[in-house]
Amino acid sequence: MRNLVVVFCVVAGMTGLGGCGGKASSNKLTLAGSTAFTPVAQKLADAFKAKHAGVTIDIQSVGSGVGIKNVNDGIADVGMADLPEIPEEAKALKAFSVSRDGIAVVVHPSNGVTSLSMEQVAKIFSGEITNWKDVGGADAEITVICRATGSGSRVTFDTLVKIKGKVTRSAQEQSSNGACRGEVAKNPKAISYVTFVQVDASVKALKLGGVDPKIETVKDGKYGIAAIDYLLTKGEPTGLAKEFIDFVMGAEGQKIILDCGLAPVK
Amino acid sequence: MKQDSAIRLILLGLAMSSVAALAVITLFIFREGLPIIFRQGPGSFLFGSDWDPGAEPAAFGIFAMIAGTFAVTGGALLLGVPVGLGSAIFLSEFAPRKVATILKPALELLAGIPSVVFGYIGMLVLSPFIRDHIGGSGASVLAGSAILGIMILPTIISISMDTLRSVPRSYREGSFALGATGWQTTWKVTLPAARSGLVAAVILGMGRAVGETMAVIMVTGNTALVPKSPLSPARTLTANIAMQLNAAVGEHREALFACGVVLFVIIMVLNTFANWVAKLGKRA
Repeated sequence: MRNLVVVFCVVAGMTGLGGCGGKASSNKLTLAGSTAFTPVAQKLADAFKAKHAGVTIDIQSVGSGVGIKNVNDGIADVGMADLPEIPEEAKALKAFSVSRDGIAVVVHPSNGVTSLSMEQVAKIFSGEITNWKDVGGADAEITVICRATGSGSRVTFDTLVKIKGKVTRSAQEQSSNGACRGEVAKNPKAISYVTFVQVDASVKALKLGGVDPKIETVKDGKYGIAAIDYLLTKGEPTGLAKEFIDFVMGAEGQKIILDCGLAPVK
Repeated sequence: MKQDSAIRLILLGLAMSSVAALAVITLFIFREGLPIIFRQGPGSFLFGSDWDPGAEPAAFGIFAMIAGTFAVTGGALLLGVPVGLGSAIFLSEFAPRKVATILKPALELLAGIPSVVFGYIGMLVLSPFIRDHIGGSGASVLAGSAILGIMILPTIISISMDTLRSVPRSYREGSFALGATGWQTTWKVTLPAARSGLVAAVILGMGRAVGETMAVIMVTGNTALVPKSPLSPARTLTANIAMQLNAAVGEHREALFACGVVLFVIIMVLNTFANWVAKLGKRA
């Protein structure tokens, strides 16, 4: 359903109906971007609003790519993106890395495999390995499930696992982290990836090259697949945008980020 | 008199507003989507089998999605048409009044269930069932067809019933007078008289299936490959647009609008055909 809303917003925005675009004003802040970072941004915004009476913060969960575009176009004040690095189209923007978000490789809890090397993960998602028995599991065909093209998690995963443009054509695609987890939870032969926050008892997160998927291992850089969460502004942030970013980078903001299951940068 | 013409003007304006909305949408979809089709060539866009916006250079061939759309829709018709037409015939020709008064509201309720609910049930019940008892990964053309087959029932049944009911009573009375049984009358007289409306009902049901998005995304697995069997996953045109528009920029976004153009043309052809068939029946 969210997709439909987004479609509507995009259509409305482009036809100049301007239904969803927020104009920058002194006590209103519009954030747009990463669906993965949205829940965290919501918590940060709530805490920020508690300290600044009369401020409204509008958060639009539209995906990293559209978030960057909206900041460029001046529709949003602050963009949110979870990506492995700052992409070409955002080079002109001012970027603040506020946290790191690990991406866990997940399988069904009944799967005998508990650890994969980075190389094995790459081979599975690029279609070179198609049977669980080749990585120490049961003799069963692997169902590869990935995120839709353009999702921040997909870009991060493909870039860091080094399979950009090589993902197997027979991969199934899901439009959100939750949907990926849901499919893996139902299918004993499936493999997918979701952000750490999304991991729960319905799936099993694998060790990657022997490293546990934990906030600590993301923070010290041992865990290999993690996105950087960026807040982006057009030019130096001013006014409310600057105050908000300062708050996120400060001790209180970073504590909220840690409580949400992300690795703070400080 | 003055009041009359004022009201007529207002009503005309209201009527035109929906046409205007259609015009704006059409213009917009075509303006955004057509350039890339012609830049790339309609042949390679429509029949190219590679869809990979992330690759360099990006590949935009939508044949797998067209095939997916028609596979899922075809399956839905296989299931929905016999059940739908059967129900309509029963309800309008044979059902005792009491049964009809229960079944008709139930069907209207079925039409009111949001598609995401159908998708959710399909995801939790149907696709695991298919995986465990029939085979494959569960997310499949079969799952999509089964869900859509149910979703198009209200469309098919209500239009078919209207058509059957509009067959003049005198036709049936004439048939009975000649000594025909109830079924003979239905088969030899009522159905042939209603034929064009029934075809239109099926075509409109098909249009409904082609356009459905959410329920299909949730059960078909969305693999961008031409499905090899009913148990293979598939991606429809609508699913492709809804899943990727979130993060699409530049050419990728244009290509998604081009998918919209293709969908638009498919639906337009189906509706025009349905109208034409229905009119043909009225003239005969």
